[in-house]
Amino acid sequence: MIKYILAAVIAAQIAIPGAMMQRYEATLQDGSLYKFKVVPIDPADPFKGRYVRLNFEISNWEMKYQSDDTLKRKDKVYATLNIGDDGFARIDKLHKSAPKDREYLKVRVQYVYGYNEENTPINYSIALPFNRYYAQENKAPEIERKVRRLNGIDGESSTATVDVRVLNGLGVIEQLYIDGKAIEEYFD
Amino acid sequence: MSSKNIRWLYVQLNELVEKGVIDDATSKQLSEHYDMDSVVADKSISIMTVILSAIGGLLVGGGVILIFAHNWENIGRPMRAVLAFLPLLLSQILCSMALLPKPRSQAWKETAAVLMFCTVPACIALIGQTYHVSDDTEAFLMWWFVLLLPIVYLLRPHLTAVLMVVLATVLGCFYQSPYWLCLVALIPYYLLGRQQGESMRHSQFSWALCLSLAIILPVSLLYQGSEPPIILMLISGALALYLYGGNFEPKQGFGKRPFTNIGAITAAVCGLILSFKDAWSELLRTEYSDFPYFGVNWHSAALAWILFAAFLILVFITIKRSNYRLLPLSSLVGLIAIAFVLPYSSESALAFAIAVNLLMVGVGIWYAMLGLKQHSTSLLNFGLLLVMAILIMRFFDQDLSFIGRGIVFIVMGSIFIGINIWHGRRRLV
Repeated sequence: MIKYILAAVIAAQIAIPGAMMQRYEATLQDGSLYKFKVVPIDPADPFKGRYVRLNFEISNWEMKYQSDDTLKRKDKVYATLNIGDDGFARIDKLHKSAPKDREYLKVRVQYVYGYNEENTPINYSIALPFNRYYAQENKAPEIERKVRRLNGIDGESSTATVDVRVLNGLGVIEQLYIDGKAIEEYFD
Repeated sequence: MSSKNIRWLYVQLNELVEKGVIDDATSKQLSEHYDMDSVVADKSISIMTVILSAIGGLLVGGGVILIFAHNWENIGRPMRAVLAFLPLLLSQILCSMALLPKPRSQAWKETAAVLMFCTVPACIALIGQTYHVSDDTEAFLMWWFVLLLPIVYLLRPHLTAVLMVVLATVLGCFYQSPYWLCLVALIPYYLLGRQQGESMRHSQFSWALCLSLAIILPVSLLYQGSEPPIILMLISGALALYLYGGNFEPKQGFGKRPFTNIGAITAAVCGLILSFKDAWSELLRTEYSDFPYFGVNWHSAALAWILFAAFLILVFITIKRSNYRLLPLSSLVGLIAIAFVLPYSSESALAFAIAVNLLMVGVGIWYAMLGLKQHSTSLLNFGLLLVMAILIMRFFDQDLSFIGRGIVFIVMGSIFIGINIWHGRRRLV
């Protein structure tokens, strides 16, 4: 009996992380490509190491999105994406159920802004589900310093962008770029 | 048969075979029947070896996590996948070898389990790192707990079991309900340990579990709000711990009674908070519309009602076993229940605060007396501490007038002196 339970546990311990990996891998392989403008900052995670935290311009607190459905704070919703004139991704609208014919991201409602006369909320802000770029230990702080300096003292502003692959609501970051160069090359 | 008896029999068997009382085959059959090999193997390894190997396993596992966290950018995704699963596979092989074909020593099990405790999160973390997964800490901790839980029952590793309690506490603290279910999942492990009799390992696990319950229950309940029903359920929970301990834990020894001690302290702290008038005005002012209380979601409501039900059942058991000395502290629940159902109770915050003060002082004195009678220093000190805490709180209570406080203090002091004189005379007679 113990043999079978142990075998089941071992199988689950491999299958569950394996399934997670498969989902991310499939998104990177087959997902559609979107570019987002970001503002990087560097913190650390005790288990996964140093990362560059990305603040997305489009998920900034000022950005308010609309929805045909009435949503609450912390609701899981679907955000449809489109691409603006500058080539960067924008969020179009929030939906309560997954849209069938369009690319979308699964996101969470962070705040509700404003109510209409019938007391239904009008605008919402959201948090994007990918806001970390894990970098090698010594590079993550360097990335952050560089970007800050470029934005500050020198007066030049550098643009940070990320390529994100999107498939079935899941978004996986493919690469972080600074001024159009992949981050790893930028510091070499 | 206890492991001590089995070891005795092991020695005896060798002698009996030497003297020709029984033959080798019988000796072997008996040895297999009582699973002597694993019991003797257990004993031959000292407790120090067990501790050192467990800590060794933890350090190695931690090292693996840290090395992964460096994040080698030159390693491609396929190689990262291999790296993520390799340590996990190794620890799985070690765990399997600890159980099959025959259970090995405790030191082996501890090391294998604690390594797995590190390699499972290392695997998930490396996948997260590779794919830049964000803000998934909740799912990460949850999977860590779920994937390790069966190992706690299969290998019965002590250190890993305590670490699992810590993990469940972290989950419960940061992500609240329904993560109290993680602790529920560890309760059978506690009961198994209890069944096998008193041991240092069992009491360590019990303290960890009990402390964790004392942290998780308030966090899981109070994040929903602080309406009277929630406070009622919260104190019921604290008292349930206390009553369980009082009924089912050994009567002697502070270290052997985590539930009694932590339950009493938690309930006393609740009582002390409710001895403030402000606490009551706040509590009675809060609007609550849904009674019976259904909570913000099913699992929060379930927790609240389970605690209340457990409290009622334990009161029933206490009365049935005539353990009446456990009951006075429980009257706090009655007091809140009265405030809760009484119409217009919202205007009588002061009355309830006074009632709690009297109750706590009464309970304190009663415990102190019981301590004196039973020559129990811990009971005496608990009682005196309760009284002292109430007195100090009232002395600094800005809500009461100086004259009012002064009069109450003089009256209380006189009663104390009176009781002392009376007690002294009685002893002389």
